Amino acid sequence: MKKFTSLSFALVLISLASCTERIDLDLNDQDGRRLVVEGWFTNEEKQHEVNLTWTTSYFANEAAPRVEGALLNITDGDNNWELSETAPGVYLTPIVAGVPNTTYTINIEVEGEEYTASSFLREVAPVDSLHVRVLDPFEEFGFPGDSYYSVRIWTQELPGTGDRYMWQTYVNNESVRDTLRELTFVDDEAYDGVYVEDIEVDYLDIETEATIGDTVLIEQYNIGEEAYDIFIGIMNETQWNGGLFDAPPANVETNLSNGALGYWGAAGISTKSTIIAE
Amino acid sequence: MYKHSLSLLIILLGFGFSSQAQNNYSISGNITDNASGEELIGATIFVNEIQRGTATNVYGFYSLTLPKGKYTLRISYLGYEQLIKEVELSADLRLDLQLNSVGVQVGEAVIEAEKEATKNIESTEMSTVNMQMDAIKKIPAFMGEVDVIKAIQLLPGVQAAGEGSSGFYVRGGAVDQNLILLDESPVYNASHLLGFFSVFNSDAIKDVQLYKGGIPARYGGRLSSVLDIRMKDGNNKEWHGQGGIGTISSRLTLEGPIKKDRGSLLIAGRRTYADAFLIFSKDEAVKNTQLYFYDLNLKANYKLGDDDRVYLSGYFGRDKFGFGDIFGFGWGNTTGTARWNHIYNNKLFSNLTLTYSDYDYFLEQDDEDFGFLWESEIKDVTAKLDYNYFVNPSHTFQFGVSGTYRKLDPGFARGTGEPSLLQEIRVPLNNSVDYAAYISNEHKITDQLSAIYGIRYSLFQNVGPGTVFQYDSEYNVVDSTVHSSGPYQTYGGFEPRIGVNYRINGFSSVKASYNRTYQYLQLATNSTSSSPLDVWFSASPNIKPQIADQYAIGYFRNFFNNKLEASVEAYYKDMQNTIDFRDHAQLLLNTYLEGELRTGSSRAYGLEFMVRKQAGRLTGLASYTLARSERFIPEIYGDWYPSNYDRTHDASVVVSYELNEKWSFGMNWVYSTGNAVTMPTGRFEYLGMVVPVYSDRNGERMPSYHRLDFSATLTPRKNATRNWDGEWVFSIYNAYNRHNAYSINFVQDEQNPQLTYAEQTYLLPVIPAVTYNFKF
Repeated sequence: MKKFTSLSFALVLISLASCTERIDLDLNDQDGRRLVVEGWFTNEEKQHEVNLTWTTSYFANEAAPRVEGALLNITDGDNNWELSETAPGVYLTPIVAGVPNTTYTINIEVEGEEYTASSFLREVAPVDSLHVRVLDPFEEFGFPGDSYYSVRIWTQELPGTGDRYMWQTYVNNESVRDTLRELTFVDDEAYDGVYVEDIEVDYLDIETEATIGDTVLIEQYNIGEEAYDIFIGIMNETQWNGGLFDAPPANVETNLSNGALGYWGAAGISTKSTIIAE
Repeated sequence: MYKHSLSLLIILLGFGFSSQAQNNYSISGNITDNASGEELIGATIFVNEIQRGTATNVYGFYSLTLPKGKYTLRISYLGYEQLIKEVELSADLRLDLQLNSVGVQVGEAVIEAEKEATKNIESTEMSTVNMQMDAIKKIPAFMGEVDVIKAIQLLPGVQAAGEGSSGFYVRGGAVDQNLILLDESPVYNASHLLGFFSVFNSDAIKDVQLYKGGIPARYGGRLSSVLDIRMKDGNNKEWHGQGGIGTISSRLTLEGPIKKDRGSLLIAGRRTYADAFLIFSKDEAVKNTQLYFYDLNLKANYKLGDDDRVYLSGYFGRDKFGFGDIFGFGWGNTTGTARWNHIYNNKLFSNLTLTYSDYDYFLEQDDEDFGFLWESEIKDVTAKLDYNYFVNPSHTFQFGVSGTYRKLDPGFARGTGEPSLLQEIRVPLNNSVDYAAYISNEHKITDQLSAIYGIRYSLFQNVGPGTVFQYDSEYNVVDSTVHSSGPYQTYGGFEPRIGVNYRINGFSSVKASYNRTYQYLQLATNSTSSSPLDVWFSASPNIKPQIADQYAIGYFRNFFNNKLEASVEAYYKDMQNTIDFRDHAQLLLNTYLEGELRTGSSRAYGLEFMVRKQAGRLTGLASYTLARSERFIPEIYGDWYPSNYDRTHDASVVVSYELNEKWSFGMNWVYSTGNAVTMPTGRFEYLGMVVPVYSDRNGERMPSYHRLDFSATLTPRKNATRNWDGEWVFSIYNAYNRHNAYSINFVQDEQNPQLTYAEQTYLLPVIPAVTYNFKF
């Protein structure tokens, strides 16, 4: 369903008369800290990373404390991989590649509590082609402005709905998208089985983010519905809120058990790289 | 419970009819304002000899049946001189009476009004407040625009829905649980300009009555309250006008006789010009913004003879917001009422009413590819027949029937581009009917004990054409049924209404009441503040009607020779089939809206204190409410949780003082506990985002709301040669510039992602305004 986003525009009316300011609020603290899990297990042959942190009080204004000394393993039912802590709160598997269409389970033990999550590794189609080209979005409307590098791909959307895509961009092997809000997610409901041509999945600032001769690499993830819904939930509670007619807030879903938060998932990944030409 | 009350009712009704004596005659007639001919609602007629009396009904009609004899009648009405009339009753008597309003010069002296302040002690009704327009006009008003709804929000047990909102909560009930009637026609959205003003033009209004509890049997359809607003009939003696020129709006009312003493006409119009200020904006886009509302009240009445009178009244109002040629947004109400009063005989008064009400909104965007038009509408027509049967001074019966046909068009959005890239969304239409029949008796059992008891039966039906979706336990649509015509779902029930008053003495009484109410229609609103885009939806095979049982008890006492009225009331309200919405519910343009609902129950209880002084140079009221409103909706939260509008403390103080003929002053102060909201109590990091972890549902509070307003009215000496009265009203809204939070957001700092802070949005800082009002 196409959303009529102009609704919020209509309510500009109220904002004409409104003012905003920071305030101090005395909020209750939650009861006890909770474990937060972040990590992917993919079909790439590598050491897969899991990060463990603790929740803090809302106005703590410090980096989340890292969870050290946890015991982690990932299993597909037949094989079992122990993770080792390589830095505080950072845990790595041995070198292994996930197999598409397999369900993986993570088990975590911290301070005597056990947590678990399972995720199905979905297949992903290869990115057939990747182009990076200069684009000025408003030129066609007669307002030439800032141009940028448009990162565009050609790929097959796999038949059968339920696929959810996310793209991660690297320039000269450095990730340029380190927060969720900078990533693009798409569901396949309207594009099921379509050969997708020349669609923009990211854009890069000319000079500050990329220049001619840089290598751009794109990772195409098929993260599945559960992760997609959780990510949309995170966006709803952080970036896409603040309107005067917002619905009451609600906690973001998680796939972890025993009160842990965050998301641990398996995903199919395909990559493609190119060099920015003149 | 109600099997009991039903049999009690039958016994009492039977008693009512059997107690008629012989050789009785009736005095009946209308009580009007001597200057304008305007009917007075609720004027009391007290018979000295029997120490009992009656009051005029909403059409100014009264009837008293007494044995043959000589009587002294005392007729009084607040703000009017008392009239004493001797009558010799030997046959049925028609007695139309006129009262002079206080302040009308009689010789040299201004006669101080005789207060009929014992009314709150004597009346069987409780949890009921009548506000006179004169009193409402003394309250400092936002932007100088006198507003009925803002005035009732100051009463105990009534709370404003938010800053500048026309919505209100009564005794822990939701905004959509208030039945708002304008000349008996329901008003679906009482807001102008997103609620800063209500749709009621104070110059066109005669009487405002709010029932918070003990709701009379003649009203139904909403759980929590009835706000019955009556328009003026218009002066039937001579042509007059009044109006005002204000900071952001102007208004003009004209009224006069169609034929002297037989019929009159009233036309009242209003228009705001808030957008006039926008041209000063530096922002081009804001400059081209249209932002206004207008409304028009029309009323005519004509006496066909002594026994028949017809009334026609209408309201037309629209709000319009436009952003250059690109974007338009508007909404409006239309209501119409036609009435025919007929007096069968001295004891039996009837009124036939036909009403029409329509609320619609639209949203449009002009664009070659993505242009769209989105419309939504609710309309209904109602026919009602009501009777008042004045058996004798001990028994006054009211009974009647009504039927309503309602059509809901929750939303139809379509692309207007050629060709359009947007798909069409049509939420299925919904049609319903409801019927009701009621009977009640106001029974004066002894000199000290009186009661109103009655019963209402209401019946609701969904009628075709309509589509009903079936949902599974996960609220996914599994099937649908199309009903092409005829009723396909019926709900109904008895609604007993009982009120008792025991007068301890001339200045104190104890009252108790119970009422059951059904609500078949509700508003889908999910945000803290309601918006004009909220849609109404009806009961259906998937949604049961809401039912409320309210119990109230109160102690009423007057002090200082009835100059000061005081009351304490306690209430408990138990509600079934309460609805709430699941997390992240999609309410607009959603064909499967019912799948977003979760149901449970709710309860509200509280204590209300009020002190009011209505006569003299110093008048005012102070109220305090201690209350709780909670709901239990298992699929949303596993325990009772506070409603968003649960406000523990709510207080207001309203004072006005007439210094002299030239100057008068008004002040009001309001305080309430902040809304119960869900706020983050913790946070976690995920892929660079700081994600909030929330409190229990509505487990935190917004900051408390408080505000002080002032007004000063200057009435220059009247120029004797001109028939023109003018006054200047200076007002200050939010005098100490409290930044009352309208909403609070939690923001992650752009520069330092580790830093999160709370940011409040507030709407109205200190706002001065000047209005010039005139009468001619």
